[in-house]
Amino acid sequence: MEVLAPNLSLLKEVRILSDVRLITRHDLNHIESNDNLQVQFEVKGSWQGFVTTTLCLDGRELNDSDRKSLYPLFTEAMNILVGRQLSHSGGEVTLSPPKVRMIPRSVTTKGRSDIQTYELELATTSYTVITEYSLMAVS
Amino acid sequence: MRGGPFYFLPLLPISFKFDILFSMKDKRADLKIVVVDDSEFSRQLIRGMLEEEGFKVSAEADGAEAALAVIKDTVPQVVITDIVMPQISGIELTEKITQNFNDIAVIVISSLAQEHIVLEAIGAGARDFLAKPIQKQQLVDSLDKVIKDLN
Repeated sequence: MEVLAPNLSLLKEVRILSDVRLITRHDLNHIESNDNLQVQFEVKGSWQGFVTTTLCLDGRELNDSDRKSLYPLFTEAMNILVGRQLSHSGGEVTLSPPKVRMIPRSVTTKGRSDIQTYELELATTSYTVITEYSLMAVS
Repeated sequence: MRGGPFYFLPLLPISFKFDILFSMKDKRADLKIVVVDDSEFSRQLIRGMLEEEGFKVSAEADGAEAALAVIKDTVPQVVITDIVMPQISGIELTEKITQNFNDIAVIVISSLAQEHIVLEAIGAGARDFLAKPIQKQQLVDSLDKVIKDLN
């Protein structure tokens, strides 16, 4: 098995709905985020491993109504983002259903080359999204 | 009288097209559709798109097993199913539907749109494959084709 750094095509923009889009972020400063929601996908096939996506909440207060609308939207948005990235990666892969983790975990992008950052733009606000790739190419 | 055909002939196809359009929209509400996706968000999204265009969703299911039970009950003309679902995938569901219900058209949707997956879906008997995020017009066109074939 050959270990390679993930070289997935970085999507500049994905429009999930007419008023919801994901766009790439190019921050000069690294991001440290706490109190997050995570959704993980297992990848099998030509690439094997996990893609972990993080919705950075950073202590934002969400009421029940916000959670009910935001969490499923985020999960589906990540399903679309990861699916589209892998679709362009070459090779043949399959993707597991998303596993939602409600356990808060802190994430930093400092010195990480296996990370891409996005902005999830909603009608009234936006959230930072961090995607981490732990993938190996199977030769 | 030479001008007669010049004025009338171009009008005929236009009125004919309107007839088709109106009859198609009338028939949309009669189409029995089942939507299968483990994501409630995704099901609601599809339902919303379809209702905006005059379709009605007869039933929904959050997985393949539930879908098969719903299909037996409602006997739909169309099943719209996601591929990535726990336990039984949308591809396996498509195979089961096409083996057991000959007249049901299956439209497969997936965020992962690699060639091998599209071929698997078509090989399993899917009538159409749509990549997520779903474009409303693509979904409508696909369903309108089903209506045309039924008639």
